[in-house]
Amino acid sequence: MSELLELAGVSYDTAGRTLLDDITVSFHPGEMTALSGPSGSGKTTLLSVAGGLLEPSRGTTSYAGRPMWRGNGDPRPEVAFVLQVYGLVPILSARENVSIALRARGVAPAEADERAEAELARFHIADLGDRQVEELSGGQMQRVACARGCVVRAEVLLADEPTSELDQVNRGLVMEQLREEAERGAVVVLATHDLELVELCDRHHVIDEGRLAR
Amino acid sequence: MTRTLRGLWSRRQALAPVAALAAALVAAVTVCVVRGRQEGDPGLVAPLVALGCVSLVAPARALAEDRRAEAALARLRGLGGLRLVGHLLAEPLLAVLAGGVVGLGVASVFAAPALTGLLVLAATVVGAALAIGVALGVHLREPLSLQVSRLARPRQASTAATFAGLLALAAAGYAVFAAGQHPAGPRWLVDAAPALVGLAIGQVLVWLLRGTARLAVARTGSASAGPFLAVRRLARRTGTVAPLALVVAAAVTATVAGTAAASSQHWVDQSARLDVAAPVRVQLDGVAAAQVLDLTHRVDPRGRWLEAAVVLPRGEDGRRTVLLDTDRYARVSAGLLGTTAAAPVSAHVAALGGGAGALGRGGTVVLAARVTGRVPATVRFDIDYVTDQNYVATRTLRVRPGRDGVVAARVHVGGCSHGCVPTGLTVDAAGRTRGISSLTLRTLRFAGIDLPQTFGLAGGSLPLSGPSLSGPSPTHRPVSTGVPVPVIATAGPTTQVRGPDGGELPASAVARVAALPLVGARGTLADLRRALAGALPTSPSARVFVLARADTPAAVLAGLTGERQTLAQVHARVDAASGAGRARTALLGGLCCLLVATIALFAGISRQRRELAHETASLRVVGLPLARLRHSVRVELLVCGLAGLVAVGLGSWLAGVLLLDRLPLLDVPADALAPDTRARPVVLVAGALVALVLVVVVAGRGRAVREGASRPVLLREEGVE
Repeated sequence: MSELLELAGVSYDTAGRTLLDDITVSFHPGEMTALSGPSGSGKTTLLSVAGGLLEPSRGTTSYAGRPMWRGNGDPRPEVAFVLQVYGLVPILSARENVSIALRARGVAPAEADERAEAELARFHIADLGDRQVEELSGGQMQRVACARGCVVRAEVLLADEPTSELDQVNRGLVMEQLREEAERGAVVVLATHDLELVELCDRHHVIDEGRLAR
Repeated sequence: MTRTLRGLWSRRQALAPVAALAAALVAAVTVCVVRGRQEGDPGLVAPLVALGCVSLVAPARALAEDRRAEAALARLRGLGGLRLVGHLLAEPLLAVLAGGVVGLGVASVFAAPALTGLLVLAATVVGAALAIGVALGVHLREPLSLQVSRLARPRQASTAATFAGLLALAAAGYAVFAAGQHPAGPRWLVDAAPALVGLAIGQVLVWLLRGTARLAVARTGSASAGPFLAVRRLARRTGTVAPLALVVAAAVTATVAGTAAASSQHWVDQSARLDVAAPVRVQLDGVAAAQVLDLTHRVDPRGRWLEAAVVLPRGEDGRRTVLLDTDRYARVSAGLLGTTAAAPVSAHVAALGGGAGALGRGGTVVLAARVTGRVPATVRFDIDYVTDQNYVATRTLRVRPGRDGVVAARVHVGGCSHGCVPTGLTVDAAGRTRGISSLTLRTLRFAGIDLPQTFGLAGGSLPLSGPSLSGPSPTHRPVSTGVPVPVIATAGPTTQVRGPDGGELPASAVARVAALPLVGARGTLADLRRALAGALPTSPSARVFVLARADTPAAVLAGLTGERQTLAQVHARVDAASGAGRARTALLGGLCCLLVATIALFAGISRQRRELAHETASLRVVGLPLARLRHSVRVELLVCGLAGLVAVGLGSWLAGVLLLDRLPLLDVPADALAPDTRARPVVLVAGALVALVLVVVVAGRGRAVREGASRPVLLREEGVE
């Protein structure tokens, strides 16, 4: 069975609006796929449906043949997210925010902390490990969110505007790490407005008013 | 105005707890003020006012926090100063006013608030305006750049908050000090002392809990998700911990008030029982002590229902004396007094009447003696005694000894049916007295009394030697002054007891008790019949009673004309005279404090709901199952609940030790039993459990993590495309 992340005829309606309309698309392992489109076009909704956070109104989403929607809005363990609003836990430090993702997957606390430390170093923020995330700048928070998404070595990594708060140097750093995730064999999907980032991806889909335009 | 009403409606979720708090405050304060006035102490509302003021601080800060962005926009448009504060104040004050009017309506059900209610409402609105105004003022002084930032920044405890905590400690300390002074400090401060001590304990608990949680952060790095997250939430968020201080303060206040009310109720009950001394008490005017004794014995010859009692005013030793017909005490009084400090009296009362053979009852004199040496022709015994009708009498026995010197007789004696007291014994010999050496008394029982023992004749041997025994006998022992009257007394030296004529009799305490019927904590109890012996006419200052059992037939009671009082009547009188209603009003205030704290806790926890939902969603998105997250909330609540339980238990005990005997909640007469202000474990445990239940149930409900409301997709809400 092919380990594709597949959306087949997916539509998503809410409050009388159709946010996604009959989308069929496959995302491949080992590739970075960019999703671009104007604001409000449905990029975040598409990632949410693809990652199993939202149940499609119509159609199916699956990874390696398994449905992504688990019935409660929790993502499958094979999936990791880098959220546009970071989704960091304010009561935890930067390191704990990263290590909690590993603990959730059964990694022993000591090992989780060690790997989290290494992951923060990968994003050049090892020195911020003990800081509470609310004390960090927007860019630092975004890199913590990226580290948290990458540390679990997920088979599917869905990143929503992962560089929106970053400067040129850090943007390049994040894209390098995402590329490493793809090269490891993960399905990496990136929602972005940034055409420079699109250029760095292997595939590119454009979404407009909930429809796949390209 | 329309815009304000629209804003009110759109922010109804945030404003509803404020309105509820205002309603509870206005209703509770109004009712307590009205009740306090009725009890003559409007200051009883002070704890509620103190906690009410504190309860307004957190919602005021939250409301100001909610309006930060709006304030920032207004500032960008050039609006500022008082105009902006007024604009931002309109909605919350309208909510407070609406809640206050509802509270006024509720208060009118329980009391007639009238002007009081309106004043309380006005004070609540002004208080809320001040609290919210100050909180808004703090935000309006923030740099605009910080105010418009969409990132929430952690806020360290402000200097003002730390100062407020220290102020609570200082205020509690001063209130305790003021309550212990003579005369006590300002009444309102003393009245507010339980709440101030409660607030201080609550504040210390918050500091301890957060400090401990911070220390535990490093130690729970390897813990499972539940404790790991719970400890960090306690250490880094004020969500559950901050409202806990108010709950602890309210529970301590209510527990102290509950202990005071229980103590006061117990004191009133004890005092009423001691005062009435029997289920029914009839005070007879113009009746002598002997007459009342005779009356009770005539009306109730078998001693089934009635008991005579006489109370004498203070003697030289400052004690009052109660004289009871002790033979009837067990049947008439002991049951009613069994739950009082006078309960031990029944164990010793038997020693008062016939004790040491000093009070005779019966109708015979039994004599058995032997004369050694030369036997006289006749031996004469003169026994002086006081009859049961209070006459002095002498029973003379002339006995002719046998050749062997044996003297024996058994004769009748009158006036001892209801008790008589031997006062003297004279032995004389007639004829052939020369050579008589002594008379050995083997037995000389007078109306059941062992006279040799009573008169201290060791071995019963009377030295009868001498040239002539016709004069006053050397064995004459006037006992009316020499034999002390056995008494039961309260603490302190007891050498005398007053007789019914008001004269002092020598007394010997057979037992010490904390309190006595009819005289309270400073008095002496003796047997009426014994005290009557040899007494002059009853003192005019003596109060004469007939005590009766509850089952006394109406026909028997009808024969007693005088002021009749039952336990219930005396209870009501003691309750009113001691101002015990103040303690009940204080308890009502304490319960109202709990109500206000409950609303404040729920409002405080509810405000954290959105934050908790986001936190939960953030943890679910990384793969933590909801069950483990719920477990972490349960751990957090359990820690807070147990901390609250311990704090309320220890805090209430401490507050009780420091305050209970200093609070002006009971007017205790000088001779009355002191109220038992020791901590009552039941009340302490109840208060602590209430705190635990409040935290676990109310906070638990507010922090319930619902699956649907905490889905990870929640995190995309701000960035839906």
